[in-house]
Amino acid sequence: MNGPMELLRALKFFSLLLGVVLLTGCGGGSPVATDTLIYGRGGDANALDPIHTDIGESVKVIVNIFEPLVAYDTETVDLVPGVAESWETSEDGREWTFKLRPNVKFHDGTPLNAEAVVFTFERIIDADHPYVFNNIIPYYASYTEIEKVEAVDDLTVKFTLKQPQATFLSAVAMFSSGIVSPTAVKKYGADFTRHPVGTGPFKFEHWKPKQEILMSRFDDYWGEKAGVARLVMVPSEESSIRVTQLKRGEIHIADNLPPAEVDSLEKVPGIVIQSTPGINVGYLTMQTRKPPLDQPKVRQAIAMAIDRDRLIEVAYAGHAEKAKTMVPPTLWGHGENVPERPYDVKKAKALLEEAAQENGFKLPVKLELFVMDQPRPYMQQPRQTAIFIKDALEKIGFDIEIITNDIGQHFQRMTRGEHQLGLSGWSADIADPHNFLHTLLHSTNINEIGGNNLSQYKNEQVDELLDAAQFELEQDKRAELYEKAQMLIYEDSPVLPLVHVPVRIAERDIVEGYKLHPSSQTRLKTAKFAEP
Amino acid sequence: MSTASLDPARPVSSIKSRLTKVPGLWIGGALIFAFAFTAMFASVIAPYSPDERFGQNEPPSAAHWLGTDSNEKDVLTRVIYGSRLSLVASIASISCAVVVGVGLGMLAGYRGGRTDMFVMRLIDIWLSFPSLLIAFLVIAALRPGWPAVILAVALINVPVFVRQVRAEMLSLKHAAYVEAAIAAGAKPSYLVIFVFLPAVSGTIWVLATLGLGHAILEVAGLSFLGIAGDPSHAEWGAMLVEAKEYLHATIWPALAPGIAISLTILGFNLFGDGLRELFSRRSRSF
Amino acid sequence: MWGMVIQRLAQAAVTMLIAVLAIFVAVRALPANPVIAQFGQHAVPEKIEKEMEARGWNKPLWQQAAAFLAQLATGDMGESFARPGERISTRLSQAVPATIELALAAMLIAIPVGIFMGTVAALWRNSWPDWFSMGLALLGVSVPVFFLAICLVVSFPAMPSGFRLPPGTQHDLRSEFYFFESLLTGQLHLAMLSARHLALPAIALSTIPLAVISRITRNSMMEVLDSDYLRTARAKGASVTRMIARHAFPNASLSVMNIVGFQLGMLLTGAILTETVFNWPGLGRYVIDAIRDYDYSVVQACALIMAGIFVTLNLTLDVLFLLLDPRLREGSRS
Repeated sequence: MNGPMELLRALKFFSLLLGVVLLTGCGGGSPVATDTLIYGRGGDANALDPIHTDIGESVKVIVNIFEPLVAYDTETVDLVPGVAESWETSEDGREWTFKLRPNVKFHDGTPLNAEAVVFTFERIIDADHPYVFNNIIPYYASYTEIEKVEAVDDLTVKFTLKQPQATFLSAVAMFSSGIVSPTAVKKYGADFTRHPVGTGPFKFEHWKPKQEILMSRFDDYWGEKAGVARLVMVPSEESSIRVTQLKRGEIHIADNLPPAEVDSLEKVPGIVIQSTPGINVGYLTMQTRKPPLDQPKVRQAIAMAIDRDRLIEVAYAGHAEKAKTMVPPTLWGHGENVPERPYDVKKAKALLEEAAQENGFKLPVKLELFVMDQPRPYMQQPRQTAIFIKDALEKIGFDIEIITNDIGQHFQRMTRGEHQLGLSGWSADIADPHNFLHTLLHSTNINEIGGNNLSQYKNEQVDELLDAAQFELEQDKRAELYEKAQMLIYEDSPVLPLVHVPVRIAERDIVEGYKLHPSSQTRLKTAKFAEP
Repeated sequence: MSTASLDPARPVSSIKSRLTKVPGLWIGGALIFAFAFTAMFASVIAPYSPDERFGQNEPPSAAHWLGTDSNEKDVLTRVIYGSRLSLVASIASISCAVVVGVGLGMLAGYRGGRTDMFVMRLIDIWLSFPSLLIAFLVIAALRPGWPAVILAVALINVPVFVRQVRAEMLSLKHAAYVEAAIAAGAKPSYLVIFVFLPAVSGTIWVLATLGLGHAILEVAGLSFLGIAGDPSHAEWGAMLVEAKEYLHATIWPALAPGIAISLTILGFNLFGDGLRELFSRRSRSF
Repeated sequence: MWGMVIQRLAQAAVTMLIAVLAIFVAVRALPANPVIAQFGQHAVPEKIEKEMEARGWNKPLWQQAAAFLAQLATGDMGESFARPGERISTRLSQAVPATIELALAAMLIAIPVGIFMGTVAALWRNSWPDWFSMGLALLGVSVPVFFLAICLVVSFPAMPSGFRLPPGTQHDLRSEFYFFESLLTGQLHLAMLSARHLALPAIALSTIPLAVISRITRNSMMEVLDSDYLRTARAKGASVTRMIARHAFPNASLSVMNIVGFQLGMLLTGAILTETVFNWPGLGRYVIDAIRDYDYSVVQACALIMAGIFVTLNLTLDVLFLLLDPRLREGSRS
């Protein structure tokens, strides 16, 4: 029978074909030019108009295309001149005058002048601005203290505030008030968010959603020009795939990797790790209006039952700082004198039993722990963290169910106060303790829609202290007020601060000059390739 | 009355001989048995408790045959306990799917006409979306947790049963003995319990067995997308999703649950196929 | 016959309409507010109210549905919720080609291999080639695709593990059919690159159709091979290859075609897991991301497209069968 032989031959042929498809091109040269920097991250941007987004993946692109009046220093959170050369404040602190740098051009050739700055800020504060096509302006609240913006002359802009505000300059330095080209906004209309035009070191080329965002060096940049000719940002959602791609050199920089993977990458030749302390806090919120969590003793018991040193080992591979208070130690106003919270299972158990007797509830108490489904910079492994906390709390007499929600629903449900325990956190918008304490613990921020006081914590003394600090202009006095507030918060323990997480990235060693910024702004201007 | 058509000369032992001709039934059965046994006696078989912590991402050793995972827990123990949730979730969801699916299928096939039209259009619409999309919406609408997952998986398994049962009902309705029963004035409830159900039971068993495999896969898939129940419970899909973050550190936490799911589903598929073959041979011999 | 086709067409249109309305209602029944979700951790109550109004989100359901259908009637898919300024039709014109290329690549593997395995199994039934290929087929439906994907990435370290082309590749392709276009315009290097990027996801995606096709082929081949006329032909000494090519295969092709069509539909709409693992910017990932981002206008549009693909494929198959199978044609005439 010759049939089988023929079939065998066909099989051989087919496997050969398959092999050819799989293997060809392996040795082929890549068409990617060596002056193209490829940055791999965990997701895609949603909008590139600075005012319309609060998503980290968008910000990474925006800070390379747009520049605010005032900028962060390359490595610290000190504010340095950006497109504004200098600025001064009036006696009463209500008027700020900025002198613009001459000869700054937008990518479309329009010169940057006072008109452009006024246009930029009016787009944020004017509710009916003709060139805003969408109401989603997440940072709106940071600019509501501005009464008016005027162009004094071609290169001078004057801001008038409703009342003196300590955080104003920091707000101006935020990415969301990056100066936009008025001509481009008028030209593209609602489509500006897909065709961003700013003054930054990189010029936007194209955006293929879920595939890549391509930028190129802006040759008319006013300062030192970008170190690479082209910059590509690619979304690569699986972190293990991002690691593989970095190892193979398919991408040059990878961020948002699980901490243990970063450690293992450290040993790989050709890859270097960068790390800088971040300005963030990861914390456990306890809904103070729900029994039994309305009892401070129960909350203290929870706080004492969690061994945060071990947690950092397990969920952060040791790369995080144990949090004492909500304000990170890298920031002024961090409560130095707030006592360290001890880890003491016995005492925690005793406290809980005491509270149970006083209030007449039975042990074990059933509690729900809310957790998000994706990592955040302050919560790199939400599942591991949640499981660790569950195991710890079940030892002292709780019965925990972990509820996983996607990130949108997670925060919506927690602002509505549906949780009992929940994992949350905050990355600084501005380098100011106000941004942590007021936002997360002031009672005016208990709000069904977007209130970030998730624990629904209300302590009038704390409220007063935080209000006073907001309008005080002297930093030393403010620090004192914040310190007092932090002591009170420590005693009430509406939240358990867990960690401050460093920003870590892995990059190929041929990439030089890029310095991580603690605010996690990825300004890639200085990055360049090593000479071969 | 169907037994009357059996060839009286055929010896009873031939059932045995037919059974031996379907090796899939035996291999599949063995795999399912192993799976069910593990699930039931997990606490006896497993070397540790599923929540005990050891060290993170340790390689296999004498103490931990498959190493430990990123939650510092013993992988072998978690895999063994994981069979429980898979078993419970798949049986619960397929039972729901069988009840609803068979009910709807019988209704459509028996009543015919507009009812049939309505049910079948419903199924068409159901089928025109990818099952994961439906599952996603169901879980998002309910409170996330294992009950929601079970309901979602049940819902995406309903159409298979409806379609098959309806098809059988259409031919069954015109079988002589059914027509005779109807003519004799049998009540619908009598017809369903004593006539229709026995007649379609073979199909239901086959589909349910295959469906159990699908259900395990779907539960794991949902866990993998991160939208299942409490992640601290040992579940294969959830274990995989956690382990995939650490592929470069250790491969065992991913490999073990992956192989466990594959083998279990293989078992159900082999057994279901075997059943189908057995039934079709029997029907051929009638 | 045409009457029947028209009837099916009308049925299909109604099915699609109801399907889309069902999704329309379903997304609105979800307990989360999509507008708040777009603000992340920085919600601004007054802006949210304004945006809800601008989007008609606070109108009664039927008014929203009517507006949506009116918009669809003009052929406009609308704009994304979560990505301001993004036209859904533009994104679909990128996502659908990506999915089509992947699904076809998977089929390119599944059909020949599946038919080959099925034929081998039918020829040597109940012996090792049969056991082997059917075992492999069963394994194909048993290994979860996400697990397989991970295994593939780990075991083929030289192959690209995501994206459609190497990031930053400069090219001047006009469509999103990277492979087809570069092949047709003779840019072989580019075609090769995109084929390499297709390989792993296509293999992962091909296992299920491969398994189904090989089993169907085996069964229908066996039926044909058992038939009397082929037994006669065999007895007369006809070559096996010739017999398969001339008789068995054409007879089996009808049922294979049916299953290929069905499986293609599954691949086009249901490759969500594979697309997620391999970072493939296709339709499945588009819709899942849209659900996660509360991008309801996108979910609705994708549901429409998916239902459309499914219904169109079913219809095409029905018509093809009417044309190809004389028995059915006779049936419809009478």
